[in-house]
Amino acid sequence: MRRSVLLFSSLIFYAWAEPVFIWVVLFSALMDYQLGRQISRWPARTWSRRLAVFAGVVSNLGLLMIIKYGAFLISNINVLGGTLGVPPLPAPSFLLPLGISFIVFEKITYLVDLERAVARPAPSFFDYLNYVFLFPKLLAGPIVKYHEIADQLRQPSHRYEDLRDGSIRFVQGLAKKVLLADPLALYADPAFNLSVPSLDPATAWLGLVAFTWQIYFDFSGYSDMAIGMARILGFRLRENFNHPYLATSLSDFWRRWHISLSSWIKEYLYIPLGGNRVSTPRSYANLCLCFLLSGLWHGASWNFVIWGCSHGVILMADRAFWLEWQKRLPRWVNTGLTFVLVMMTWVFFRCDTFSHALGFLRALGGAKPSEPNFLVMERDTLALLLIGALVVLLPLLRKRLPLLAAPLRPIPALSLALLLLLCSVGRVAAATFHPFLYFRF
Amino acid sequence: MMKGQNRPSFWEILLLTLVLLTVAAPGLMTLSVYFFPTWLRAAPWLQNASLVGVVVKKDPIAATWSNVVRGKYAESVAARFNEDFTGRELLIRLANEGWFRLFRANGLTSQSNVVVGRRGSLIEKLYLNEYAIQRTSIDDLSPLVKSIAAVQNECRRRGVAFVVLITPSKASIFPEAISHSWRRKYDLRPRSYSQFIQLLEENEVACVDGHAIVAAAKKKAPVPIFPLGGIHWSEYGCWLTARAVISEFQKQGKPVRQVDDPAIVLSNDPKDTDADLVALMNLALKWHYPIAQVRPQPLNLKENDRLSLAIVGGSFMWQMGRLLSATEQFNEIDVYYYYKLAKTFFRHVLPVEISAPVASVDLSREILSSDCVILEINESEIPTARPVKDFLAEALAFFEQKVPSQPLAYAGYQTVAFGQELSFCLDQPNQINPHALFGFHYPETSGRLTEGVSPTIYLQLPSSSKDLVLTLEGTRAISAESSPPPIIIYINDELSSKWRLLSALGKHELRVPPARVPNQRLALRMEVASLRDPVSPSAGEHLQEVGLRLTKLTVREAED
Repeated sequence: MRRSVLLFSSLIFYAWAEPVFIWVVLFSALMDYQLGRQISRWPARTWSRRLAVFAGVVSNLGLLMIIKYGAFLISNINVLGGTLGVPPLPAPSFLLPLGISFIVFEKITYLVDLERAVARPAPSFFDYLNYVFLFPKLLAGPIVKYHEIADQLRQPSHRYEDLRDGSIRFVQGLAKKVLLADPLALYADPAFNLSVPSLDPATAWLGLVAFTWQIYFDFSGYSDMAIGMARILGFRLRENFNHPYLATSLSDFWRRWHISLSSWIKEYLYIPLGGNRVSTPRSYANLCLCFLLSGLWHGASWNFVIWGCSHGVILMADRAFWLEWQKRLPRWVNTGLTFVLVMMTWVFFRCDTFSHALGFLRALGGAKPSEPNFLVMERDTLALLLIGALVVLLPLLRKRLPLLAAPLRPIPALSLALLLLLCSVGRVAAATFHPFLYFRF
Repeated sequence: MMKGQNRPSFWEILLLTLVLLTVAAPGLMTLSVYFFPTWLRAAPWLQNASLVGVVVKKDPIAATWSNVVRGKYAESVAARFNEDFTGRELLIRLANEGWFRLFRANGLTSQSNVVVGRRGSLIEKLYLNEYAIQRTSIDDLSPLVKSIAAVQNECRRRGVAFVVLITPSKASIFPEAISHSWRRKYDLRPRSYSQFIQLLEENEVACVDGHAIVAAAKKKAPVPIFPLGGIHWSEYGCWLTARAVISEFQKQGKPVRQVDDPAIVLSNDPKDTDADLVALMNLALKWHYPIAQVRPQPLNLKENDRLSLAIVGGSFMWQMGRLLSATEQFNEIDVYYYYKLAKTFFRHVLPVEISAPVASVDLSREILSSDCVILEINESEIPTARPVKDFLAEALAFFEQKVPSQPLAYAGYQTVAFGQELSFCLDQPNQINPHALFGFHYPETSGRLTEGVSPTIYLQLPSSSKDLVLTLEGTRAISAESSPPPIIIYINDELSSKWRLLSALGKHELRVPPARVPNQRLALRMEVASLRDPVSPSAGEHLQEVGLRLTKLTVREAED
């Protein structure tokens, strides 16, 4: 009964926002489920099994390609065709369905794991739908493997501790998103929307730091909410972030940032391409390809490709010499260098075009603006940047200050959660009201 | 972290219940009030009745198949819930109060126009931008002042007393109240205000400098010239300036009498314009600070002895209208708020708003038939002076029609040759003159953003008997979600065409018959968004930026 209610609410949740696309996902899920059953029936390492997985992967990626990358692909073909005098192709226009990238990756995971025989097929279509549509992780992950959650889907836990700890975790995530990420976006967004001639170095640096905090608190906040909500419902999802801004190298960063995606790429892309078993140049090329695709996964635009490639190149340098060299440096220097490097690459992630990103980097380097800008950092934004820094540095502070070292007991933890929740709910309400003194057009 | 505790304590359960209830509270309370509406009467603090400020509300979307399928209906329901859930005002006020107490800042800094300065003094961002950052060259201001002088001279020729009134900006009168973050951006080049004053003197325009008057009185005034929580001057500052305006009318031969010895009532309970910004912050607790109310002695003149006064100006003029009306020496005071945004008239002190916006103004029967005219420009608005330019353009056109022997060269039109490409982009040749524009931002390398709902371009064309073809190029300022409303183009106030422009660079051609361009002057107005249903700005985007970014404009003669 509880599982039926869960599936029903998950479907309603998705259908409310995606009343059309839900049918596409349902159909595609049915196909995957049937393919999965076939795969598990056929003997291991047979061509029919591999062919079925291939069909499933192609159909899922095809869905993603058409909906998410169709317009990007056609616009690039048209640019190329334009230079050759070829008439332009009509660009498809789809609204990006919620959580499409996460759904597709999870469905691929299911099929590949069946082929590798590390998972058993879902006992029923009902169970499989519950996996695909489990609403806490539907919007922004983490990417969950079926076999990690199969037992929980059959028998969700219903303990008081889950309800309590899940609620606390959910509120932590909400507070990260609403009290830190969203207010910081109010500075980061205009800073990145400034035209290059009006961008001064101070604004560029403050805007970049604000965005660095914003993206972390936004994404990790969503993950916390998903993990907390799932825990309330009796599921334990894998962690998706582990203090990424304290990483000592970019390789370390990717072990801490969006863990479910980076491990997905490693397990389902990098290792099948040969992993570390192939020649060094080949493994570097694979690394670059993986990060290029990781960039594309984040969005259909060249700036994401460049962002992904920049990470790929730095990771190559990591492997080639840096991981060895950095052992001579103190830990805090490595952490600081990695943090600055990650921040710099966020410029490509956030800027709309390559030329904008270059202009932004020039401003970071001290280029003087030719026009004034009207962006001023107020006290609250500055205070939030500092609070953000404290939250990021919390694990280090815990090591130094014994007061912070011990985990909070339930009553203080719940009291803090209640306070944060009240602030967050108030802030959500206030964020929907943007009055003007009067119209002055 | 909390494993191994099988028996939670009472307090733990209570706290957890409160957490869960808080998450569900807005929904539960809204449902309760929906089913038991009488509850609200018992709990007025739960009514969302007294939030202050103008907001753009979208009309609810009908639950049609197409809307449901496109997700528009779900969006609309969510938006309506966000705007109306029970207890929303209470939450907003508590959240804003908490944010203010914690950070001494307004809750939604970048999206809000209210900035908290030193010692809690509130200032609107617009005034800070102008005071600290925005600079204009004197050459850019010169055509505006020449147009003012031309209108002044024509008014005087008709026996109308004409005064330009410069109202002060709180930022320039109280720079000590500006926070460090804004002060460090201060541009040392001269502000438009000082250049404007210099030009007015050179062109012999009768001017009352409200900035100089209140700045001189700042230290001696019994109450602050600008209230702590307001952006407009106090009634005391307004009264000092009103006296100077009356003196100027007297100098121009009008039988007006001075406002001497008014009753000045001091209080600690600010309301209306004395507390407009603090009200806009929607805090939970009321602010108390000193204000003064000025009550002039009524002169009790007979109806026939009273004069008429027309004011073209902004919100500072409501206090001026109220004050002058209380002297009972004017029959009627008409305030043309931002010229055509709304018309307000004062009779027996209280204003009555006639319409908003005013579709058209009959200059001969309205403003120019008055005994006295005040043209008000706030010092912060000198660089743009948009409604003032609009008024001047119409007044000069009117005078030119009435007195054809005296052609008035209005510098607010851009002279353009056929085939000439006018650029809106910075660093490009043939840039359009900013004085030929109304409702546009500064030029950027990528073009000029429109500001407001009716950006207008004024063009002076060569003579031609052929149809004209205008070509516009631009993009949407904000990527619209689906299909944004078309841009409606008017030529000399007549509907001409509709431009369906999506986000990508678009081009639009329109044909104009020569009969629609009298005197070869063409005003090209674009309704880029309607107030009722604008393209929604998202976080970090200002409502004023809802519109388009123009890059190019060309006019040519039609070939056939």
